Amino acid sequence: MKESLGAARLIMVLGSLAPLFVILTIRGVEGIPDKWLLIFSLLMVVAPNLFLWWRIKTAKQLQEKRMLTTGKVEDHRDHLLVYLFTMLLPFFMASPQSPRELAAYILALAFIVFLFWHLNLHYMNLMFALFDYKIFTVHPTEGSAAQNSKYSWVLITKRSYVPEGKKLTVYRLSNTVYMEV
Amino acid sequence: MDFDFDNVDIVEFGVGFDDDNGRTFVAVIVDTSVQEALIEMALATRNALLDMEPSGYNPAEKYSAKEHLTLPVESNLAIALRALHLAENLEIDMSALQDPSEIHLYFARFVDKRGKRLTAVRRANHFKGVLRKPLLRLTSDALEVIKDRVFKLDSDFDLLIDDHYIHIMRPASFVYVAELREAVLNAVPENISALKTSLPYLSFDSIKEYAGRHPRAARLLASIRSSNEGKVINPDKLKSACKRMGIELHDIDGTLYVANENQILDFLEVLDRRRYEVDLVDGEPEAYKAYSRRPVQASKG
Repeated sequence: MKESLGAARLIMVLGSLAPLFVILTIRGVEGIPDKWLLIFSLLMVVAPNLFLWWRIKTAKQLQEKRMLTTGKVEDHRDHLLVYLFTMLLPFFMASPQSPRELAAYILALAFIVFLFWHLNLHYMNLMFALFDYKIFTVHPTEGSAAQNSKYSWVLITKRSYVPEGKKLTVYRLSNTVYMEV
Repeated sequence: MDFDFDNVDIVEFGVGFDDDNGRTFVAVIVDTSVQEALIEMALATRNALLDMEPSGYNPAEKYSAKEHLTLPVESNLAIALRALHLAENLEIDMSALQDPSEIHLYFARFVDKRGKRLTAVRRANHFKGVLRKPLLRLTSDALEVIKDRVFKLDSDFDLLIDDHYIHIMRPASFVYVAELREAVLNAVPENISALKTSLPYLSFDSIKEYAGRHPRAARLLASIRSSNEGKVINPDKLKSACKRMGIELHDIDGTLYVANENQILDFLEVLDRRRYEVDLVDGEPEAYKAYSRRPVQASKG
């Protein structure tokens, strides 16, 4: 499926980095005054999540609503582990001491942001978990008719269980990510 | 119509075009103003249909520009539109509008608060037609050409589909959007096997071969099937009618064959009650064919 909202997805990926920036601010970075680090981190924590809130609000306002039928549903706990091991732990362990180390650190971060953006992992946001939303991957319906989508999509919902064949009214955050509000 | 127009919950817009996989339908995201316009269009179509007397769709019939015709969703003539109506998660593809010349139709899919679905379809003539002509807008003190890509919605749809029936308002558009030519040709074997119960004494070999190549014959077969469901046609009456119309039949061991391939279409028209005779002048019976016909109710008197 052709994804859309490229910029929006990028901001949502940045939103998923919020815990990293919080950790970074607490630890501090050699050569960068704490004041500037705090301002930068606040911006990186607040702005993307504010954007995410605005995107959900816009989807509701514009009635970007669809009725989708679930195929096989997969829990996304393993993706959270991927998130933890690729994003948080390595960067938590790293403490750049020189400008070259800091540049390498930023480059590695940019690479991971690009991968998350490219692989449509922009829903990996701790804010969802804070508000008790769960994340599922929904596969196409079995024995799909010719016109049914052949692609999987991501469902963000407060349900703890989503049965196969369920018709859900959901809001579109992107072409592959839908939220049940 | 099995849909609550006063309580529409979801509106989805999309277009249909041909690609390597044949006819493909994709969803296109629209804002609330377009959604409201689509609901207005569906309402206008519903109201126009309600003003007309409904009758069953017959693929061999010649219809006027606007009628209220119904066709069951399960019909083998409705395969393409049924696929659209029943599609569960249509793919979203905003790039589908990049090449409007490829778009054949546009559609709206509605869901009411009870979860009932209605699909509305319109042939995309005007939708993309404005792209060929420059559109102007008045700025503060001068007219200027609108350079943006502009699309135009119509005032109503060509047909509505609920969970039971396709409600056709423009029969000519239905033929196009339902890909009826292909549908009737594909339905030939099924229609012939169904007709064998009504005409057990008729050899269908040459008819099947002919109808597989001629859409008009295939349409007549579909029509004959629907009008003869559960009936047996009297062979003597059929032979007599063909004789009067100049159609030659061979009777070999009780099986009837159409003698001449050039007369298969005429023969099918007899079976579909489209050939008739009027005998008002002595010694000059007149034979006609009817492309459009209505059953006559006997007047009480």
